[in-house]
Amino acid sequence: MTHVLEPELAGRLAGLTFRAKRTVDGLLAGMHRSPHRGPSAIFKEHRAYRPGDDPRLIDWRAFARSDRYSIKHFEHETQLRGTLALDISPSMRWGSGDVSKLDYAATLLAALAYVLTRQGDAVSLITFDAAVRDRLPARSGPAHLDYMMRTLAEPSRSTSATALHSALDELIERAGRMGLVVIASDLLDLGDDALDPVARIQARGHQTIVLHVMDPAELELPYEQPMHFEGLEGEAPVEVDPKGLRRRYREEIDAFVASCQRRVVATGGRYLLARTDTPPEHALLRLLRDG
Amino acid sequence: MGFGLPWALAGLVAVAIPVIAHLLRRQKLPKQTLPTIAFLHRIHATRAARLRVVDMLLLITRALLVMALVLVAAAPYRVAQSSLLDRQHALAIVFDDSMSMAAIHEGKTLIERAADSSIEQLERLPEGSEVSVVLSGKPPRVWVRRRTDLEMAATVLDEIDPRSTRGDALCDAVRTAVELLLESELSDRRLLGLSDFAPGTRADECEWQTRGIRVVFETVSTPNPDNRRIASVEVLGERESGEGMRLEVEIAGTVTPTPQKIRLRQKGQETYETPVEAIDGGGGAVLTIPAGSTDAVVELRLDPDDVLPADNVRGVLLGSDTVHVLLVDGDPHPDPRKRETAFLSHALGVAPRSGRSCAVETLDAQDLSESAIIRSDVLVLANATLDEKWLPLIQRFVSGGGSLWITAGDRINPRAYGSVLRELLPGRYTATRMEARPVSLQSTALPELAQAKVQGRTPIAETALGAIVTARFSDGSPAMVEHRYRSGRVAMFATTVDDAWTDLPYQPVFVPFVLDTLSRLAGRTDHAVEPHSAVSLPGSTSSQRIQVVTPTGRTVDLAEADRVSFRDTGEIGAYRVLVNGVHGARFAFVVNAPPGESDLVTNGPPEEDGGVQTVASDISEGVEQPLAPWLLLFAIVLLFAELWLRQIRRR
Repeated sequence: MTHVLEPELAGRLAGLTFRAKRTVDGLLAGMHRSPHRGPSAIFKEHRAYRPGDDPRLIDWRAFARSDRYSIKHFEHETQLRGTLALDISPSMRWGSGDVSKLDYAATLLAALAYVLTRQGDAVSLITFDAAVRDRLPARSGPAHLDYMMRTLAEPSRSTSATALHSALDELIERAGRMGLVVIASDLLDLGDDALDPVARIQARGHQTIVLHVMDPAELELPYEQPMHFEGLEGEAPVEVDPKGLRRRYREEIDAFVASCQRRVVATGGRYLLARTDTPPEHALLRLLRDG
Repeated sequence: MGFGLPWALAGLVAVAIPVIAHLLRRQKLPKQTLPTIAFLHRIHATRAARLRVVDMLLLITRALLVMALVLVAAAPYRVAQSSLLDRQHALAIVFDDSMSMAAIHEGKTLIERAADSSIEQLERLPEGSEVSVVLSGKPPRVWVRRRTDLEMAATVLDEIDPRSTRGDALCDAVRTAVELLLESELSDRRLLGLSDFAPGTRADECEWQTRGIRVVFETVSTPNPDNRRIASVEVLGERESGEGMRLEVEIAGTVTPTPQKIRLRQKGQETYETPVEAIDGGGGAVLTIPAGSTDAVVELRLDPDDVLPADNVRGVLLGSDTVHVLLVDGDPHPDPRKRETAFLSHALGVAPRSGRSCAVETLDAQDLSESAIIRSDVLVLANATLDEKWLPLIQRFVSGGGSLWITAGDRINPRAYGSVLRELLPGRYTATRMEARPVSLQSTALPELAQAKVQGRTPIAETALGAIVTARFSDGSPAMVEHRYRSGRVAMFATTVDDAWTDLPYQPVFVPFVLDTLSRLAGRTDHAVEPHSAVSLPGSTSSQRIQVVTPTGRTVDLAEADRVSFRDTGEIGAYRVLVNGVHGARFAFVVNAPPGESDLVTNGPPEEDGGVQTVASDISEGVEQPLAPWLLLFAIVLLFAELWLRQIRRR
């Protein structure tokens, strides 16, 4: 676990506070405001009683003053439920340098879990490739965090190619109530509907953050000699001279990244490109500050 | 198509280099995993097909490039049908004008046919080409030397004697032609050899030093090589005998159903004829020359003519009946009995009348004349030291077939003989010495010489190579030495032929000794030569008119300068020499057909090798056109294509 979240990084993150942009309902009261009306220390508004409303929510004092049944709405802070989704497909295990995309993504998610746990939020974790592989329920507390760190450090071994659509569909079913969903993946599922589930996640009230983890070599294709390229998820090998098609490749990759960003943002989610050659804390800071 | 350096084709294995490099390159491409390989596929999918084509084209281009360079190194050429029309050539024609090429086929000799073929080739040459013509008859002659005037060259080809009687010297002629071609500044050099390649050419014995020049041989032969000829003539009997002389003639070659005759010609007149009788493998005939004929030479002709008339004629030397002996007395004396030549004259006078008779003329040394020398067959210098002015004449006399006998005595000057006539003599006279005790003579042919005693002698030393010692002194030193010099003979006797130093003249053996010596010296000189060879004729004074009558009756007047060596011997048959209009017995000779030239069966041209090519008819077949420049150009184009393909591949 220690190599997933370095103590130094954990220390620097200690002062940061994550505040969800949107209110989420939680099982535990916390710093987050709940969108639900109901008993709370902070009054929000009255509305007319409608059949079916809980009679216990009727504000009798208001009835006394106006002779009409009104329902009293409160705004109160709740505990955040965070769902961290890590892509563990073979392509994530690759890195041009010392750090693989999986290591990098795991580090980011571990840091995020640490932050959320410190502020008392419940955090769940799932790993996926073509389907969900590991699943930790939403909990808070150091023991759960430690268990989560271990899982991030040693996720299940995957041999299946990424299938975002099906994996995220399954995630939706398990994400439960509205909350924060953070997906760390290289998004190398080039299907047109690969990111469609993000819209559904958003529609269910979740705040979705897509961490697009990419190796710089994937973005730039820096190779100079003709090479025998092999894929990691069953793709056919190809022999090409990178110099000859670097420009086209970069155009394609840029278009891919832009497409991913556009599709995520279009659903109301957040998109963050995380290059593995940048320090993870930079990416995390961007994530937290903008959040 | 051929290659100048065929061994360079071994470099074609280098074509495998780009193929192997291509395969190795594929095997050795570094492997790289890349999760985004799908994007490469997406991009590469559109390029892959094109790249495969480009790669294949690159491979083919590189292989062709290597192949082209190797072929350039191998100096390829193509054999073009009509390339003579295209470029200027240095062409040397080796034209066989030997006697076998005088064979007639359909009214034309092979020489005429070869000339026609040569003229056709010349007409095909473009302007500016250079032509040489070398005739390969013996000896080879440069008929046209590096001329660009092709019309003139064609004209002089017509002037080659179509009835040539020459021997063959094809090998030497080819060497001469190669030398001429090497002198040319034109780079395209070819040699055309036109010959019947009959056995007389001995082409199989030649070493073709073509020195890189393309040699093409064309066979010009007759389809009917059956040729008859007078193979030999044997002269039997003596002219003085009552029966006359018999000539037994042997005919070689197939005897045709047509009756054949042998005709005898004497002094240009046909005098006798006899039919040829078939014998195994040929024919034969016998002719008789009646007694009383004074001819030194007659001529036989086989009739009718066949494909090669030249060898149907043969001259026959009959020899002379009288030996003209000129005795030059170096020690004259008023008393004839005391002259140096007294015993010789006496011996010749009492000689029996069998065989050839002697006509003796005696002159004192100071009375010697040029005409006297020319008239004689044998010149005897008895104890005579001649004025040096006579020595060149004597040398020409011997060279022309005369004989010389020098006898010793107190008047001779060994030093004079040793200087001017050294080359002529079979030995060298040394200092005269008188013996305290007489020595005797020894001879296996005349053992009776041993009875003679010799008290004085001029010893003979340093006998020439090939000289024969016919008599020796009892101490072993040579007494009589003889040798042949050119067409004549020379003998030296180490003592006197009078009684001054020896009693030999008193011995009965003296007469046989003299006659035997003169008989050897005056023996029949074989004056049979090949056509166009030089014949040595006697010298003469400017007042004398020397004429040679050729077999066809043509009379050639010899100028002063021509009288030593007569070269107009192109006709086959008997030649008669007239001195002041008179036939000289010794002055006749015959010219016979060159050996091997009567066999007309072609052996075909020499086998082809790197430098020699044989063609059936047209020299324009087999004309080389070097392909290296075109291949080099092709290689350059391939090089640019390779660079271009590489650029395309990178794009």
